[in-house]
Amino acid sequence: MIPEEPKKPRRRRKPKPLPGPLEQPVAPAPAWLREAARAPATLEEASFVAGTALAALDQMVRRRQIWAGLWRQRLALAAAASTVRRMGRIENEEALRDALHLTRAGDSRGPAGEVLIAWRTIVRQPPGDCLTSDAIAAMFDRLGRRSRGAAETLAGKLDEQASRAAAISAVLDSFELALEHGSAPEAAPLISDLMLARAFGWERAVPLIAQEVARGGFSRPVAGEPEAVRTERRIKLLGAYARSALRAIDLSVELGRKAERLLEAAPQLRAKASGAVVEKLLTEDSLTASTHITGITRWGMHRIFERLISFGVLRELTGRSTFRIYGV
Amino acid sequence: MAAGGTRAKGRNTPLFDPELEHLPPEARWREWMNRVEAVIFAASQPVSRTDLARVVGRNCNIDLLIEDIREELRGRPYDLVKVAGGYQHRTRPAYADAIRTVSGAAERAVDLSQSEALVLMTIAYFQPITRSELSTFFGREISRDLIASLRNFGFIGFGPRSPKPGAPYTYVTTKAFLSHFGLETLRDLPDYEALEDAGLRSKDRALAGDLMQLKVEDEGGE
Repeated sequence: MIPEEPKKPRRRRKPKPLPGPLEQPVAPAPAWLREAARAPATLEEASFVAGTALAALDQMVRRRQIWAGLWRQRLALAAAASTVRRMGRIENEEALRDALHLTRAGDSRGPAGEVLIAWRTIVRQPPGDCLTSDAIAAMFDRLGRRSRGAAETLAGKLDEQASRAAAISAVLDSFELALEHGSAPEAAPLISDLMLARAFGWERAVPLIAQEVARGGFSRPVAGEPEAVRTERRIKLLGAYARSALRAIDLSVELGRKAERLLEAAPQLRAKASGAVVEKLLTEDSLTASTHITGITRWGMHRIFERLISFGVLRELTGRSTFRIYGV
Repeated sequence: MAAGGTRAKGRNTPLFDPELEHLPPEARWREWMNRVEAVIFAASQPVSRTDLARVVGRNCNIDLLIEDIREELRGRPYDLVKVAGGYQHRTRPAYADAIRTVSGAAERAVDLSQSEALVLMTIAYFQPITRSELSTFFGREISRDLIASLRNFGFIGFGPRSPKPGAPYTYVTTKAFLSHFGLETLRDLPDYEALEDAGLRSKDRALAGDLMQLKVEDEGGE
């Protein structure tokens, strides 16, 4: 008998190179800042706290982590959920995700789903593009208010005021302007987040204050009120920005850790397009198996998701056994 | 298709002059008012501001223009109103009887039966909602035919599919619904806020009574 040749080790197909090296994880915000941001009493204190928190956030945004897409989308989802609640609807984050993933092309996403789309639009396009009168009109449309005139007026006012006032005042005033001219008080957080992103030169907006202004008398413009009331509103807005910046940083710490674990586990995936799937998981809030990714079928996606879940780096977000939605 | 049509129109009428600079200001304003009113009069659908802006000068304030037109229409039996994102001529409600007397047949086209109207309103308040949820709501089967007739009127459309066995479609109201009932937004629905305050905006909570009964029956069966 011919001695068997030693079997050549089967060459494994190399996984697609993963996107970029991991950068330093984000440092969590200091405890004193968290304490101070809880309820700043004076304008000086509020400005200082907001400035510090936003500077920390700015640093984080500028690192352009590869999971920034995921982070923005999670913030957008939370913001959309609080906007929807403020509009008097009852959909929560899960329902919004369902509306996004279970609507077929050409069908309506329903009133709540459209709100989520409005938020997702502002984190996908450069802030400048989202502040044109057409884009604002589209945003109003998604928020269920159709008034072309108000959008035009608002866009004009915003431009005029951005050229006149300093960046931070412009952001705070834009909130008021949106309440005054928008005919859609729900649009105010979107507008002022966009203005902030434009002022800071971020390439995409970060949904921040919607959750903070969902309650507590932020629905009425105060331009006609006495000085004290207006100052009070500014203090509240600055405080809201400080707290929401800290919340965004906290979320980035958490997501950074999860993304790191996902990237560590990813080389064990052997499917051809797994690099693309992992990349997509880091740029999207959630995926379903039927999310279209070139080079992989939905069954392949299922297998990748199942494997990542068995590694403990991915979650099934709905708790259902069908219509499953996966996310980091 | 529509875009192609617009482009073709633009090519065939290169001489259309929206600015009207040769006219004195008053005459120009008058002409713009006439144009806007003519466009709205001729259209079968509400006309959006973007479309109106194409027939008037660049620095013309459409709001003021519309206001002037409405001022002129004050004594007339019809008015220019804003519905579902556009402007449309509507007869004043006081003349509804007169119109119905003459054109009763035409009016029937969107005459909803009582149950259709009820289902439509339930969808408006609790959208997105599936047919089986509607059936639970009413305590009787809501037929596919009823849903289909609402869809034929253009008042409802398909929403996201419900994550339940069979992935049934949910139904949502359309812009045509808002337009037909003269609403600007869904929040203009009567007693929307009252319903909200009563905690009845939740589909699940509104359904809870019936669902609990079902559960009890199930347990009894076992």
